[in-house]
Amino acid sequence: MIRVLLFIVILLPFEALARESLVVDLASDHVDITTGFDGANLILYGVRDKQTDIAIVVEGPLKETIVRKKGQVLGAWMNTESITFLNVPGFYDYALSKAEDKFDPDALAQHGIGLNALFFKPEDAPPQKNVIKEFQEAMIRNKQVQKLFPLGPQGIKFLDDRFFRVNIYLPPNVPVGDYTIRTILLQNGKLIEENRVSLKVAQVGLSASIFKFATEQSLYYGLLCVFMALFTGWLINVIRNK
Amino acid sequence: MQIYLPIAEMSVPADMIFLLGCTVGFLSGVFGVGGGFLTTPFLIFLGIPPAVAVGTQANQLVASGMSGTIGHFKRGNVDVKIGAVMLSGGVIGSFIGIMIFRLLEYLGQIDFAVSLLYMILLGAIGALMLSESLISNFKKKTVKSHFNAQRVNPFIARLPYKMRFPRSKLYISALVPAGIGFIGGILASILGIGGGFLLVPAMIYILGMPTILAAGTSLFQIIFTTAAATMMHATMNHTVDIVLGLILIVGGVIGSQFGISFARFIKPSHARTILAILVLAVSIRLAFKLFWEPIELFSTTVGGL
Repeated sequence: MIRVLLFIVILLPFEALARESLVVDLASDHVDITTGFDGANLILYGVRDKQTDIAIVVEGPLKETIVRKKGQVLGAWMNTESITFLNVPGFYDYALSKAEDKFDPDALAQHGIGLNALFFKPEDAPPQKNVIKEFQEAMIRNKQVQKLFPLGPQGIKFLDDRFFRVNIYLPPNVPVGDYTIRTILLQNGKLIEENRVSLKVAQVGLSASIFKFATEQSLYYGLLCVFMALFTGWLINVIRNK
Repeated sequence: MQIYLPIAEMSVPADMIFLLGCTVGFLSGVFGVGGGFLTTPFLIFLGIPPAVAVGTQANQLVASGMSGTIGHFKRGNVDVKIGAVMLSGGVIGSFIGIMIFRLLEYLGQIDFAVSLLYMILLGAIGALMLSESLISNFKKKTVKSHFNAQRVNPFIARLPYKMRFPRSKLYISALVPAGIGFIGGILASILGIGGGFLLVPAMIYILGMPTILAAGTSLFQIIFTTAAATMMHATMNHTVDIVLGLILIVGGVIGSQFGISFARFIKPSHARTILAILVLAVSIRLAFKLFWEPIELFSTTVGGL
């Protein structure tokens, strides 16, 4: 089951005023996770003025993230070092209107566009810079394996000179929470306009009710689980003896 | 077929989990009891976080404890009084167990600790079972119980708080059954196992209980100990996933029906050998996981504590 989300970006060229303007419309501003959730496709449509470059960045909820490294202790491999990074997005993906190396790297870095522009702050007094780099690269690598971070930019598919489409895939293990979609217009490495839209990824329906019950009324939930188990045990016994 | 677990907040292959439930149920049908101690390691192999695996499995044990106890109770194989003393130790043990569990989570060592403990436990049990069943295979006679407690250990005889347990015909310090229950409780909370395979020999050998009573009573007190462990995992850790539990239980019931029918076609000693080999295989798999250099040295966890 794939939930399709339409995100329409309309860029109206006011040539007379030599000013581009950005209008964003969301067909649906939420992704619903139901019991059969198997990932979701975000499809973005837009219209642009010929001259501008476009970067689109999707970021999941920012959270503290701990990266641990294993070492050998008496022969056994266990976690021996760790660094906690602050404000790491739970999901990250980005799309560019032309090849990444054709963008001005400073512009990319300034606006946090792309894997090379990512820098996360470690929580405690940081050790040597190369250690932080090693841990950060490992974190991105781990997240890439989970398909929560991309391997490279998504392409923007141009249907004609102005009309384009972008596909962003959210895997089944995406974190719930508030996502931000940033649309950045660049020209010659300078920012023309940036727009942000919110997207909410959350459990709905039965899953949500169970989660809510389990977290808010955990005592009753626990009792329910135990009683269900007792009942099931009794039932099994009855079945066995028939 | 994927299913999204609401508590674990992750998508899992429901078919694999169902199959796991069936397999474990099948094993318990063939052997009458057990197999549960294989569920948690396999859940972890499938990628379920240890906290969810242990919490959910603790709930499963309430069910299996219940179904086993009813049968034993009807046949008069349960010493309720000594069981009550054991379970009071068990509840306290569950609590200490979950505190240890949370501490390990905080230190980021829970995966390592659970794997190591299971490796040791399954390795020891597998080895014991294998040697027992091989001996019985070669000698072609039923294995006599090794545990004939003729005399009470003098250290135990000196312990205070003695109570009479008429059903088991014992006069022994209440601290002993409580202590045994306590260890069972810790194991339930940290590993998600009922501990019957440890408790029953302990009850026979250390307490001096008759074998039949030991089996029934241990199942009786497991219900309460694992119920306590479930409650604590649910309220303190929020890791008991009811959807995961349901899939496992349905698979387990179906599997055990097959197991019971299949049990007729297999010699008990052969069955014990196969189970012993399976248990040892899991232990060896865990040993590789712990001692072989992993391909990826780094792991990432979201969310501070």
